[in-house]
Amino acid sequence: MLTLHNVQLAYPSPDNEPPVQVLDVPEWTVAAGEQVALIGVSGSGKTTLLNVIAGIITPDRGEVRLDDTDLVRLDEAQRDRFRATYIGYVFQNILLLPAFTALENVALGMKFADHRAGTARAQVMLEKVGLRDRARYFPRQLSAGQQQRVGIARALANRPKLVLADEPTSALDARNRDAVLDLMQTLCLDIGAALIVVTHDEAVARRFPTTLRLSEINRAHQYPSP
Amino acid sequence: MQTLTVIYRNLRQRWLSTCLTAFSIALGVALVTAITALRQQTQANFDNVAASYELVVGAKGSPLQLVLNTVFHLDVPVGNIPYDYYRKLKADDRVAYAVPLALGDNYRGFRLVGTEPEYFNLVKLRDGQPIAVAQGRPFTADYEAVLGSVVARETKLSLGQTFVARHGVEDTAAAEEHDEAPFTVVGVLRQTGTPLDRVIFISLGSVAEIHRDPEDKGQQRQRLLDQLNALGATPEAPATPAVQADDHSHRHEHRHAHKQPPAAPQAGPDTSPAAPGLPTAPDNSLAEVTSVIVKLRSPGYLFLLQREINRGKEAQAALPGIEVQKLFSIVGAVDRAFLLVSLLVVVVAAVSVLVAIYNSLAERRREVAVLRALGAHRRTIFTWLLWEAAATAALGGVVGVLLGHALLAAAGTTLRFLSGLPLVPWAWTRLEVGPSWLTAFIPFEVAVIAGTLVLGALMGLLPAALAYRTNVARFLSE
Repeated sequence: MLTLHNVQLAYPSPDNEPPVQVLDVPEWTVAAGEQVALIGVSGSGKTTLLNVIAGIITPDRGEVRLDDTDLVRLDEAQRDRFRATYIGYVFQNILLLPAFTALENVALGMKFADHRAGTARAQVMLEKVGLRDRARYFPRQLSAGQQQRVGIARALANRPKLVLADEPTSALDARNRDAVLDLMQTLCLDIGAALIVVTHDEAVARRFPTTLRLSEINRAHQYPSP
Repeated sequence: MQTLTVIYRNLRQRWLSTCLTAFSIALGVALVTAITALRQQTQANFDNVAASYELVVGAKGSPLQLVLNTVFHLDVPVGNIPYDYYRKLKADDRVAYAVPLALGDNYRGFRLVGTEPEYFNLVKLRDGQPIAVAQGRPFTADYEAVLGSVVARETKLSLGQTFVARHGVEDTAAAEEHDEAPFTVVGVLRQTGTPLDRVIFISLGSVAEIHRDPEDKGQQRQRLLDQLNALGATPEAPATPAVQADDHSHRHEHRHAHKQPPAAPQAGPDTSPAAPGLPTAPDNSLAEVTSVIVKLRSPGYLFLLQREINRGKEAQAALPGIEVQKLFSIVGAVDRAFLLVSLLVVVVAAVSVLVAIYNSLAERRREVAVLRALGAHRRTIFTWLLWEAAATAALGGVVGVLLGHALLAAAGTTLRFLSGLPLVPWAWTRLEVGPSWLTAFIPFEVAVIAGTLVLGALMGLLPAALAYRTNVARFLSE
């Protein structure tokens, strides 16, 4: 389903130094519905890899295919729309929009997709993450665990094919961490979405059937392996 | 979720900044609105009143002053013209009617205007209606007064009540009271929405009588007594109002501040007996009038007669419509200066929209990055920010328009009291700039709100462009 082929990305260096190679992924595939934990230390390029998969960063070369679509070949507007429609993103620092209620945050995630579901779908998603009674709460009125559950509801509201989660539990305590991971994994199974979670936490990685070290797929060796 | 909801939520999130920014724009817009509406309505009122009069004739001097004085009952009289001049004017074949006015006194700041009773029938308002008496009747004798509607309301005088006039067309503490000669209210005019609402009409005879020299009054009293004696009547027989006035003690001296005494009992230039058909001066020998309202039998005579009069040495003729245009061309320069300052206030306030959104952008870059990661395109973010800026400015525009009209409402009462001209505070203002197809359908207020919206959007361009260029990956990981 997701295929990365010969993906390379380098960042320019100051003072005419050679560019810093960040990603060099010869081949990597994630099957539909598969749940993968990518483990790596901070600064190892985990987030960069997710951003490349999401189409937020365009690699210097290579292919990033989701089913038959190569994101690299799409123009920016097409990539944005593709991402909105087929890819869900759960952020490291939760990142709900403070001006909007929980319900609106979920609905806003659906606004840019091709197939727009109504507010009813957002309400259903909040029910699924156990926050039906918090629909009209603003982020500042929710705990960190509740906020991340809203973030999960937002990422899955469009029934994406792929869900990307960047350190989704780094801001949570152990009890909330387990609850959030359980929820995310269960909901992804429900809709048949593939799930890629990047983490530096071994405990998180152990909860996934497939665990990969970033160095196993990324040949750019400037970062030490954990 | 609708785009409008997104914009509303974002503005509400920063409500204090939004409100302060909008309010600063509102202040500028309020000034622009109030100034424009005030000028338009004032000019329309002046034009409307001036259109009721074809020609006014008065003493040589400023024609504008003559018009202001005769038509709008503002400013001090230019001077007087001989009563016989009015007689000759009235006898002119080209003149449909000529109505004299004699000024000189006031009651609590409201001018007393001496005229002929036929004034109420002859002089018409712009709508063609005569100046009707709503209560009571027109005056028929000296020392009877007909009040304008505003005078009646402000002074609370009613039919049958009396009052004592003061010297001068403006009320000053130093002005002497004609306490020997009280006027009786016999009528109240209908409300006209013109300066006539602020005027007290009296007979020409009354004007002559209250300004008569005490010595003359004594002589006339003696003549009257002689006549009565010759008829075998007693001196205590009932007297005319003019005689009653004479019965008061004669403390009267002309210390008041007329530029020129309006109706002093001097002989006019033509003291020969009136020709047949010519009006004769009132019994009390009024020698001068302040001005004459003239209506011609044909508009074709207008400029001809005006030139003839102006060539002479005794009087001038002025066209009220022309003089009002001149007045507003003078006032217009000041008005434009005010308008320019107000527009600058709006522009400066609009810059505050830019500053407010730009400052908020630092904390919003992350939100922009999240929206982009959720699939929002750069153009969407750009458009949202433009709309936020435009909505903030337009909110200021709407509040400013309302505030401007509220200012007009607050000023309206005072202006009406001062000029007699009504202001309609909540009426649409005419758009004066732009192609006719636009000005015909779009009122000024709508154009101002649309203008602030566009100005706000322009001010939002810079922050929107910065948001457009947001580095998503960087701000997501910060």
